[in-house]
Amino acid sequence: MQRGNESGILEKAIYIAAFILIVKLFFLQVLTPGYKQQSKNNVVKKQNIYPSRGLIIDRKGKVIVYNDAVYDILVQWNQIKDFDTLKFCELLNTTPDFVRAKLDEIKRTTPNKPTAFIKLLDPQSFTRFQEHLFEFPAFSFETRTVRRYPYHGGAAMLGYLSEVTENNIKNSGGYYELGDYMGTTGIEKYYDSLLRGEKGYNFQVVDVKNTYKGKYKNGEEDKTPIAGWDMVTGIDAELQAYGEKLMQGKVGGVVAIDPATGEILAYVSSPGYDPNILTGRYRRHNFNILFKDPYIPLLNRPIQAAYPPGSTFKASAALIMLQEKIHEEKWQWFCPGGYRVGSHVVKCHGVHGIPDVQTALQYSCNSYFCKIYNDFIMDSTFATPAIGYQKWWDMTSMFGYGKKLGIDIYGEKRGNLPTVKYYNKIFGEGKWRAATIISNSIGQGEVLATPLQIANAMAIIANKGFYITPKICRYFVKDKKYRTPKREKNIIPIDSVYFRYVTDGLEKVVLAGTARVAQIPGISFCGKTGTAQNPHGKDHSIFAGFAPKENPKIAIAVFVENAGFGATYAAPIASLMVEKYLNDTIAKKRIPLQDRMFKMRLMKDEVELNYVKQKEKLVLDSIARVKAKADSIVRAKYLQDSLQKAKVKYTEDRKKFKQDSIQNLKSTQQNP
Amino acid sequence: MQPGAKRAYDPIDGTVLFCYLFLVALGIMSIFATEYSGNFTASFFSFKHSYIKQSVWAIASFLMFFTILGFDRRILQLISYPIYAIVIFMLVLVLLIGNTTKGQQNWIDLGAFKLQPSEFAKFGTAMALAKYFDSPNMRFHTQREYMIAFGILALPLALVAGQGDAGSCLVFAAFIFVLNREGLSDLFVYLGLYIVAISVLSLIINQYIIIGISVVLFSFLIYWNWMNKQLVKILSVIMIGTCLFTFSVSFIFNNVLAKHQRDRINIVLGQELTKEARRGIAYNLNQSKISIGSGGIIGKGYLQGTQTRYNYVPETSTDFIFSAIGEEWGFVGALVLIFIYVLMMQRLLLMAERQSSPYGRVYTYAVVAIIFTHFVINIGMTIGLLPVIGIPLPLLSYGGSSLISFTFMIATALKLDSERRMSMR
Repeated sequence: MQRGNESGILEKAIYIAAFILIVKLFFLQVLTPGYKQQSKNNVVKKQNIYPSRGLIIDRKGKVIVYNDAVYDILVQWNQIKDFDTLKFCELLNTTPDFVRAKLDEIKRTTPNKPTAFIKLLDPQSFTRFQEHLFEFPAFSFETRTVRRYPYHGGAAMLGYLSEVTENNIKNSGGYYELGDYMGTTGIEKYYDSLLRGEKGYNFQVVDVKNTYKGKYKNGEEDKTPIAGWDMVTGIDAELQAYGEKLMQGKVGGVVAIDPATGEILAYVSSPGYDPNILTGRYRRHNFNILFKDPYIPLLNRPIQAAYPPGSTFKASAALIMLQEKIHEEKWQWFCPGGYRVGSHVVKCHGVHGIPDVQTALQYSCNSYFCKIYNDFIMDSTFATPAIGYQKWWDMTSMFGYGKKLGIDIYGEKRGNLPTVKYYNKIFGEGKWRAATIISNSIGQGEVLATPLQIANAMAIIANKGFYITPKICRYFVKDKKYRTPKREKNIIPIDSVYFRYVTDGLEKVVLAGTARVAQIPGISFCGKTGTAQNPHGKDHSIFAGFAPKENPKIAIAVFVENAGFGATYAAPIASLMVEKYLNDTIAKKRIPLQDRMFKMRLMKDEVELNYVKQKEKLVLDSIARVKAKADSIVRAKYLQDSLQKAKVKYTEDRKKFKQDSIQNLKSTQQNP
Repeated sequence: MQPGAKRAYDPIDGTVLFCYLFLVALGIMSIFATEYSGNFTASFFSFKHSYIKQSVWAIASFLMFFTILGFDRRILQLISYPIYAIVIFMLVLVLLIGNTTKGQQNWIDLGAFKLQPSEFAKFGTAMALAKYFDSPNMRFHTQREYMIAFGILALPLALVAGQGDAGSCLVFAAFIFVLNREGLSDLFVYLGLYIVAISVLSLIINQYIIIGISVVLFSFLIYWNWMNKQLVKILSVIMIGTCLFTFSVSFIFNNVLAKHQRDRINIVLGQELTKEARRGIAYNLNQSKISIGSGGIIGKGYLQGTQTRYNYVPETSTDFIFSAIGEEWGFVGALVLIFIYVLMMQRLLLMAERQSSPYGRVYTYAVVAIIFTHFVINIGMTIGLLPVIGIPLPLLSYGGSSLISFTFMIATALKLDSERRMSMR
């Protein structure tokens, strides 16, 4: 009893459906590439293993920078259960608002992966939190290392680490990834590739909840990390700390060099900061405070602040004069208490009688050095003053002025040693002579030098005719293997007889000259004070010197901004540091001097500082403003008006500042 | 039955039995693969593992299989309506006291066992429909007969629709194949296809464009066939129906369907998705495709499927078990699996046609329709051809209700086939 449609549609439907499914499967499984890779990407996770970064060690074997464990607290949003938020906040020292905002952010971005919730938590807080970690199931932690600085100083030279930027990643040739840290300034940056070592990684198999399920291919493609090289520096950690203590409350820089090797012994930038504050959890907060600080502690003053070298410049001037035989060493010049240039007079600090070159150095006689500078440039062997100036420029630049010395820190400034071309442009070709630019002779005017350059010039005199490129780093060491950075010996073609002669003069400066305060018992200290004129505020105090006289061990330059005479601050600080380095202790009778230096505060409150800064800016900008006929001394008049305005503004600001001061202080004291 | 006559019992069909055992065994293997943790531990035989539970269900199924083979076909015919009544009762019960998972209120918690009445309803409905067609004087051409036949289907369909179980709804709708076999005009099947086509089009294209096109098209057709009054009448009805239907589709889509259902349809149609859908269902479907696609031609090997073992694909042991098979056994394995299903269905169809009574034919045909619907929708959804509808792969997917229900269906079909000559009265 068959009936109905015997050849039902169902049979056809089965074949058609099976055919369609097979075609689709064929496309999916055979023709479409990429699914295999996608499935591997799902399951295999690359995890970086960070090597320990190289230590930084001082010349006596003391560790200046080491690594310390800190902890990133991670959270996997999709596993969060209700937890005691208040307790959580209390343990981690944060606010519920922060927790809520952060969790919302993580929910939006990476809810399925452990994501950094709090970065770089210090070990103390972490230990507290770890005891309660089981109460917060979705939270985990990851160990990281940060740099620690047991001497709490040397920030400017050591530099800091920070998270890599997009640009760093692009330029690193695939080494850096988002979230890595790298050296951003100082030697940490310069030697980053050696210090950092090499990252390792392993491949893990994880499930959809990101739980570890085993190694990928039994760890065949994994790589163990390679530790970084340890760096031994020429820095003397004790001297460095001592220098920083002496420079407290003062603005400026100190550079001390071992002349024989070019190793830098101390490198102080003041005001400095404790490099420890730029590691860890509050890094960004602290960085902002530093960034906004009107004294610019982030400025690397020893190599980036170009100051007029002042009278310290005279030592090289004397050497050049002698070498070129403009005058012989016994030649004398009558100092009436100044040097007349047209209607202007370059004043001396007194009437120096009839000094020869040593006496001129001893009393820092301006008129003597103006005269020899004038005689050098206007010498009859040169056809024009320009040719004479060019000769003077060549000789002076051999001392390292006006060029980068090649220290192993990025951002070094050239200073300024104005060229012939520059003066031709300003005054017109053939329209200037020595008298026009006379202030160069005493390290004023357009001449600018960094403390490093001043110290290096002293090292040349100490070495009697050569210098070795100053470097922080001595060598790298790892597993008894060594690597030494290249050091160049630069020879200055000046007769050593003249060096001896000038050295005697410099010794007299300390023994019986302008820097008697810098006498160190039992050590023959040679040096030169400098007072960089700053016609509208206190002069900059400068001192450069070396010791001992025979077989020098240390050359030093100290620059203290707006501090007065060279002998008032810079010379005592330099002598104390030299004494500390050579004798290891300070003689009893010099202790009061040391304490006075420790206590002295020259830094001003914020508004006053703005005023001072404005003045400095005017001095520095001055060259650009003066078109003709003038050098820095004449320029003073030009600046008078603008300064008057600044003064008025200063008084107003000061009133306002006093009102806000309490509030301001509060906001800057949040530094944890 | 006369003594000494040729043996009335034929042996049960070996091919179908083989396919049945093959699928059940592959199911347990695949469920094991999705849960295998990488090493054999002491808790290997623990009852918390799905593969152990499924093995127990399989053993229970074999027992039931042989029990059913022991029944007389007359008893089966006799209990058809009572079974139908019981499953309808259970469907009503589940609506009242059932538990809800993922928007579907389709199971009753019996402590150790979660009973899914909708699975058994398919079996019961197949029996009831067969019984109805077996009734004397049944010619299936009066309005009354149509009404009753459709009623038998509509009742469980409405109840599973009430549970929000779209998959089972489609299974009951697939009984149209059975009615078609029994004399329902092909037109109904084509009409169904036409409705599906219009629905899909109206969700992709602007509804006014569809209405415009159909009005122009049908106007031409009516103009050409002006003399054939009958055809004009039908065409006019279709034209008006299309217009109304097009409007109602977007209304139903936006107002009747739940949000997750809209998302699932949108994925297949390639429409823009909500953010939530991209994270959820689209992500799951994509993982399923990655899983199957990464299997390549020969697959990653048994127990080597990372996608399924590490839970990147959701519900790999139940609805998405085909992903696990596609990943571990590759295109070749998928081909074999499809071949086995097609072989089984083809064989069952053959058995349906050689039945001497309408009962056996309608019943077996219904079983094929049920298996077919499950097979197409399940595999289609894992490879992104069809919307994700929660429906198990017959005999493979983890789940006691489903396994036992399909065992009933196939065992009964085999029993009816082996006794097919007995009804030659």
